[in-house]
Amino acid sequence: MHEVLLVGGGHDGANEVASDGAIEDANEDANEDANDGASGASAAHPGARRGRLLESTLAFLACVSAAVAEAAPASGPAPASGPAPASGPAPTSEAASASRPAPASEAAPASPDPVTLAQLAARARAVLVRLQAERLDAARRPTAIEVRWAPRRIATLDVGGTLGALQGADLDRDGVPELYAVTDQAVLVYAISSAPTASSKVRELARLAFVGDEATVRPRDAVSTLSLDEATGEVMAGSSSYARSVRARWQGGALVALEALDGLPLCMHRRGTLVPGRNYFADRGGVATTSALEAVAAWRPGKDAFFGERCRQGLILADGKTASAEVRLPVDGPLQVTVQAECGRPCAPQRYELTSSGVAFDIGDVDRDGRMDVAYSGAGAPGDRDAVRVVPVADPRRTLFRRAFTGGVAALAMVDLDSDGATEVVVAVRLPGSPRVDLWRLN
Amino acid sequence: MRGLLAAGAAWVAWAGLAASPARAETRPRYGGSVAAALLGAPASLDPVAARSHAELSLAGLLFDGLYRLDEQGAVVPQLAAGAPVLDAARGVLVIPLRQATFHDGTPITAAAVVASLSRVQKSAMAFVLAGVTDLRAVDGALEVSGAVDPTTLARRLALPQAGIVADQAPSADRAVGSGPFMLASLRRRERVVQLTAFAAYHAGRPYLDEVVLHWFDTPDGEARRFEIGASQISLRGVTAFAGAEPKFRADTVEGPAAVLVFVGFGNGHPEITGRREVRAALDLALARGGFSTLGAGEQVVPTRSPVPPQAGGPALPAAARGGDVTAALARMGQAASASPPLLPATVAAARLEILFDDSRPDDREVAERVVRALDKIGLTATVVAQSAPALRARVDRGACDLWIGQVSAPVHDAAVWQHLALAVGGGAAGRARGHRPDAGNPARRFELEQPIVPLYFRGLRASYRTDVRGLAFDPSGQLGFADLFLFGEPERSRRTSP
Repeated sequence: MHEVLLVGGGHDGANEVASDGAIEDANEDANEDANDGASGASAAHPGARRGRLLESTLAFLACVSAAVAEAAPASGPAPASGPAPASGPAPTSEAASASRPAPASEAAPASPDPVTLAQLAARARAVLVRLQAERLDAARRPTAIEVRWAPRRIATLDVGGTLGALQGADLDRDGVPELYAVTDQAVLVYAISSAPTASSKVRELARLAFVGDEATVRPRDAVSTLSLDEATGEVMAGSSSYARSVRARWQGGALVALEALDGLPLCMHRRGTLVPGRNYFADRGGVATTSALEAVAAWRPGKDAFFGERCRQGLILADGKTASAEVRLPVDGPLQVTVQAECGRPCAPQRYELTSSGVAFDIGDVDRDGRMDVAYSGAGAPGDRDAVRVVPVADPRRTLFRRAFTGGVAALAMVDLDSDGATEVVVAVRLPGSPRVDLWRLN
Repeated sequence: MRGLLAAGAAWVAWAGLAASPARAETRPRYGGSVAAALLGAPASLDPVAARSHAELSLAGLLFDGLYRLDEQGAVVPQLAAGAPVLDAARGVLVIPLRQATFHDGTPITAAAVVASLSRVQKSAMAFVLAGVTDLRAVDGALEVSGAVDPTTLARRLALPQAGIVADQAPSADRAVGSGPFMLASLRRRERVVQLTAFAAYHAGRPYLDEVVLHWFDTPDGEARRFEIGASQISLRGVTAFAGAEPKFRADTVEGPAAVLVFVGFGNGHPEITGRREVRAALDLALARGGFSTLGAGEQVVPTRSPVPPQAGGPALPAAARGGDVTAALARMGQAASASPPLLPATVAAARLEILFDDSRPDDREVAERVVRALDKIGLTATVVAQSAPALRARVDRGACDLWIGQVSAPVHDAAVWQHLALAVGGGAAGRARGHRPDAGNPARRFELEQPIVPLYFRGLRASYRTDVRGLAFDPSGQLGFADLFLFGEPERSRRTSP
């Protein structure tokens, strides 16, 4: 799941904090606006409403703090530790007027020292900010569910080429994630029924063929990559068979190519280049042009060589904090997983390594316990029987689920098909000698 | 013209249906060296002169053609960027070319392709471009003029003999193509050819760094080498003695019976071997059933036809496996009545030689069986071992009586087999008989000329160590070395395990 962060420090909706009964409505609107730019899933969290109330309270106190600060010159210097203008909502003139202290002539001689009041207000605000963050985290804190592992083949698809990448996301904004598959020839999009027993489980929504020049030098085994940006709704996909990748977006119910891109899309907006003629990437040490024969011949793989990588954002950890994850499979080494929580301050990422992973892998939370899980294919030789294993990333020796397949696992995706906050594992198993793949849902 | 268009459309549909090879999921790893074998010594590295399985193996590894056959036998573009396209306005077929380089880094231009294919047109393999009246390089593409069916053209251009060469005469010192491997060395004394991966290969660098291919002059040499773990792939069994175990466990993969072994004829005694009746008599007299015992257990299919059963060739009836000496003698009698040199007293005085390639150990036994068949029809012959180049040179000059030959082709293409039978039998002796490499109905011409006497089709069986992956034969019985890769450690045989 890709959550929307509700912390909206300073958003304009807070301006209406003083209007009667408009607090929640205003924030509701603001949240809807925020959801427009992402895969809205805030409704899935029962604590979101409390979070908004807390935010309103915070805004009110900020108004008080600002009013005190404004009054301070009449009786003394402004506190140096007052709230920074950018960190809190500015009061409206009406609100400021309503909370402005009475003129000095009308003030009671026993009124409290305004400096002390401002300091207190600032302290209170700091505490409230912390409380708000904690309460928002608490509001997001996931509740574990019991996973029902019931692997079943949901479709046999003719993908018309060599399947290499699979991911799920709701980019067409219909509230249901689609499954994006990339072959050496095209991007294919499928709708998957969330109901496990639906008779028609998989339906092709779109097929966007790669066009343009073929790659001058390509690997013997096709490499395809895919990057989905839920914020912008964009698809970036590439194939080693073609010289350039494609950036596309849903427009008018169709997946439309926007532009051609150099390189193959990797994590987020990073793009990589395959080592010429080979089936892996390298951060350094590659060659600039594939036509330079000497450079191609001279290239030697280094430790930075990797088969592929996968990134996820908006993951929800056990303490409710959001996190991003990056998973990379080096050519010579274990699967490397990095989980970076959004702490609001610098905090160290957590790193893990998993051995014996094949090139199909993904990260998610299958049981919604806030601990990330990794699904990955086997590291056996191509052509051997394959298997998918799901393990907690922090305890890879504990197998949550394992399923062996007669064919090879071409790709897999962890995607929240039923929007319950827990991811389902979808696996594409290739039939020998055929562009047809069996699509399996494991849970 | 409409027919050509329809054929072109059919070609595209057919190529589109070609299934991609099975690919798994952990990717193959690069690096390593594999030692394997050829079925014999190559007489030449020039693709247009390739006839034997060994020569065709090397031609396929060193030289790319415009098209190739995939493992399912479908035609797929190789140096071509697509299927031949009919330019209806100009009445020519246009073959777009992809960007690629030769092993020496020079780009493969349309002019280089024209020059290379012109060699084919002038060779015994001219049937590849039958009907082509002109080849031109235009705007980076190849233009083909003439009455040519695009489907047939693409299939013929997929033969290894149509490989594109950088030089007009590839040799053991310099064989520059654009295939997945480059020639590192050919050492005939050591009976080995060494190939290294072409890093800039347009279809992807081979996974292996190196392939070392040996040939052997003894029947069990290859098996001995595999038995002690000195090679990873063997085409002639895994141990020298039955019941023994190789050092490393071996799996096997079977290939098609795509190698034809035959008797060819030279001009040493043209009054005898130049007569169609004599060749027909030998054909009848041969006891082909005995060939089934040859080899190391691979499939052997005795035949009197140059077309394999998979391509619709007639199966040899069980009754014919022992030969028909009576009919053979009758045929010789007919020949003698028309030609005095074939009278029994005259032919008995002739001493014929049967040449065989000393790097193909089975061929000695084959030659000896042919000697026995000749004896049944009153001809005396002896067997003579020759190195592959020497044998080829004598055959090309016609300076021999009979010789044991080998040819290989895609197993399902009857027309190609018929053309090849005429081509291999059309050396100096064939030219003396008026053979034209690109003319006429090949099946009919084979019946009329009988340029060779087919003996048997030989299958391929590769035994390989468990750390060798991706091994598969194509429809011509060629191993796809470019897709081979090493994975893990070889599994030791149970008997040799600690």
